[in-house]
Amino acid sequence: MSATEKKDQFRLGFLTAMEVPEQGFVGGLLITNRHGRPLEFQCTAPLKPNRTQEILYGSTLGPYVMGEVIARTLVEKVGVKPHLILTERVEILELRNHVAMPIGCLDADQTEKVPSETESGFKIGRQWFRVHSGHTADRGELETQTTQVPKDADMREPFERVREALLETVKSGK
Amino acid sequence: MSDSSPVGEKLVDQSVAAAGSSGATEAIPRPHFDPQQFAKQFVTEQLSAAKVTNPRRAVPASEPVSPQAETVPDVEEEKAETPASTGTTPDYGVDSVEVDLTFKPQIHIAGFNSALQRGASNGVQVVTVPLFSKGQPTTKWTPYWGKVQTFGLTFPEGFEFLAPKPEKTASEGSGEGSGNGPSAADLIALLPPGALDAGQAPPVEPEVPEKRTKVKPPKDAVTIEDRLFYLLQPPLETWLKGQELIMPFEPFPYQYEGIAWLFAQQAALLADEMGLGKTMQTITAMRLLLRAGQVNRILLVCPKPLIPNWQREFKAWAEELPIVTIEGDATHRKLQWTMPGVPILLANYEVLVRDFEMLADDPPKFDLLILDEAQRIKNRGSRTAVTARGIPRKRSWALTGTPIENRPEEMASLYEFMEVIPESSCPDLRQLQKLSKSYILRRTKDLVMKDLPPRFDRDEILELAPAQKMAYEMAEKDGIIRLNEMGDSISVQHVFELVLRLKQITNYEPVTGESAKLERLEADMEEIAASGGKAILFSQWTKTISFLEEKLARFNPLVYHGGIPPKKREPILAEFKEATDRPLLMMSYATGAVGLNLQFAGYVFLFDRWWNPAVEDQAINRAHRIGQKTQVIVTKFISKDTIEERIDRVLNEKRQIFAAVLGEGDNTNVSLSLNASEIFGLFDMKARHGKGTRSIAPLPPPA
Repeated sequence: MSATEKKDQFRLGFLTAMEVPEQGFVGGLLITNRHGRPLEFQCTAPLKPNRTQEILYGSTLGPYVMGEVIARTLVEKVGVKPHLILTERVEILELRNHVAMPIGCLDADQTEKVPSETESGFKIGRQWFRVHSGHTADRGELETQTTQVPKDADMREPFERVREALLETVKSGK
Repeated sequence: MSDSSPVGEKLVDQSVAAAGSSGATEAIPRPHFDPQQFAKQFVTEQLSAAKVTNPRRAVPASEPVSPQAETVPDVEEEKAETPASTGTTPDYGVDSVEVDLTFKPQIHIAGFNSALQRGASNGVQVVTVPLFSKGQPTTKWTPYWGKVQTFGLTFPEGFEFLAPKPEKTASEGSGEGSGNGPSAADLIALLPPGALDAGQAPPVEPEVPEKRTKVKPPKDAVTIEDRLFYLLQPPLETWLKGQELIMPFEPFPYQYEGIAWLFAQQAALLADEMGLGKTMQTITAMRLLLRAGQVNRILLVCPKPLIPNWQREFKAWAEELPIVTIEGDATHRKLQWTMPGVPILLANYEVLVRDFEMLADDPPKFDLLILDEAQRIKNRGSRTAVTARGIPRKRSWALTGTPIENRPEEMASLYEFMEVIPESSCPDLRQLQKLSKSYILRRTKDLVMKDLPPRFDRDEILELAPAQKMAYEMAEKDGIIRLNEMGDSISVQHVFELVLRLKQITNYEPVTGESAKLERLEADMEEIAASGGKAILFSQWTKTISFLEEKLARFNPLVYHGGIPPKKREPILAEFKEATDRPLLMMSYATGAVGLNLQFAGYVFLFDRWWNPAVEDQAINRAHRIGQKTQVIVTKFISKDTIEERIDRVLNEKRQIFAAVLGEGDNTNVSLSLNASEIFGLFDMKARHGKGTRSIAPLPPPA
């Protein structure tokens, strides 16, 4: 297998979730090649917690639903398995405790970082990411794998696509 | 719970006592309700209370005394002696009432008390009621989330492109897609070379927000799968970068929009004004569709003279795409039509009509059919239009800068090809406008190319040379007399012949060769040649071009018209671009007005006027188009007091009317050609009518 073919087989998963008013939580996972070309998309139907769940989970409801229920389902469901998963929601980092796959979360603080100072911070494309505090070894793996991603790639953009697609599916009642 | 009740308290005490007597001292006292014991204790207490409160009261003999009551007197005596022994209570002769303040009723008086006195012999069932020692939850809840429903979409495999050539650098690019087009070495990669390599320092992050052109789902995309397919595509800018697709130069923003629009359309009419890059947008959209796996087989049909132009543009904009041009003898062409694995076929209209009759039994199928210069099918009943509509296809695109040349109904033919209206239907103007919003994309230079160098139009009103004038007047007089003599048998064809004859005389007088236009042209060409400029000249007649070629021999002009074999045409254009001693290219409207990129020429001469200003605009836009670096000066020769002045006036009036109605941007999107009524109107036509005459002319077309 040539180096180019190997590169072309590299796949990223862009996973995000959101709460749609009056509908509940939805999540989507877009698998792309290293250039952002879509290969597969999976999304969930809106998941609306009942009153008991809202009371008992309290403030942990969102993180639990998005990070464990939705994200885990999507990763298990997707047919084209990604080599790594990127997310923009810190709640979804919890997924790392349930899957054997490196997960990076878009860092809210996008200022330039000195690697020695921020143990978990690293760069993919033009954005800074961080890993789960309990899985700091992911950083090295992610940095190695994402050298195939163009340095000037905007890693926020695929999440916009996923959010747009989620709203479209919610609108269509799928 | 039960510990707080008096009954419970009592029962616990009793059970403790019982436990103590049995020696089970370590047993946890368990509340136990024994009705018999309870009844016995109750009666004892009642009797004891009666004696204490009233010592004189004797128990009547008739009152039954239970065996258990016999054990009580010790207690009664002990309690009865208490007041007497103390002697503190004086006897006032009145029954005193002693109240034991320490007494606390342990049983509420209730209706069942007497029943309890009846004892266990009345069949009271002994029921042991377990009491909880501590509270327990009454409901149980464990976290449970039902199965999350998911919906998925897998994207099709795309067309595998050849790997791009790595040697290109930005400094090598010409940035100009003109003439013969840039060679492979001229191309610039949108992505800096090696930018994908590991370890390279990242480029400086742009602070300004990037322009992103998103592919929008077409309006006729109904299913969620179709809509998501488009929504999830990356922005074109990053896509083109990411796919390592090489382009001669970066498309303009409006071109990105056009590409994104085409990409999503099943039916499309790209009607951009000439020179805005319809070809490039179409090729790139095809390229992306192939890459996205949306199409595998494309047929592009264009006029025969434009085949080399498309071949050149494909080489410039999508060098990795293999294209096959349908040509050669019938057997060879049949093989080409059915050859598998060819993504793009290129054919001209004549070949299309001829070969699809041959292949009628099993016509080849296409994912995408594109008609360039689609006004060729404006007549719905023509063989070309019928053949085009009969080709099995999934997507239908039409390209033209002049979607309407004469009548709005011509749009109906294009819509029928695009399969957005039923067969043979006749949508009215309002319906056509509505369809336009969904299926037509039209931009004008005024709107999108604000940085394109300006175009200056100048009308050169010239007096005819003496010999020309004499010949013109004679021809006009004779012609009108002859037409008048025809009476009602006159037709537009007869008038048309006269117009052509007069127009030819305004170009030059055939016997003497005198020409006012030629004189002026020579003067202008002196200046242009001296300044190293390039000029294009258009005429309706090849005969005029030949006349000028001879007269302007000192400028070493090049000639390009339908009489030139197709194989010789491309070298002519190349020589015009490259050779410094060939400043003039003379072309016929029919051959040179469409599809050519001559933006290195700064001067355009319209030696005579075409019937339709849209065609004139097409001719002018060979030079005034993307890539033009300098202003373009357009000179229209108009002979004074001749039919040319009248034609120019009518055409200008039509332009103004339609500009006022539809706006400046769409002035070529309407009927601009002279109709029969207007051609007749060029002359004062009369027919004999009895002893006098009457004006004659065909009826104007319905509004």
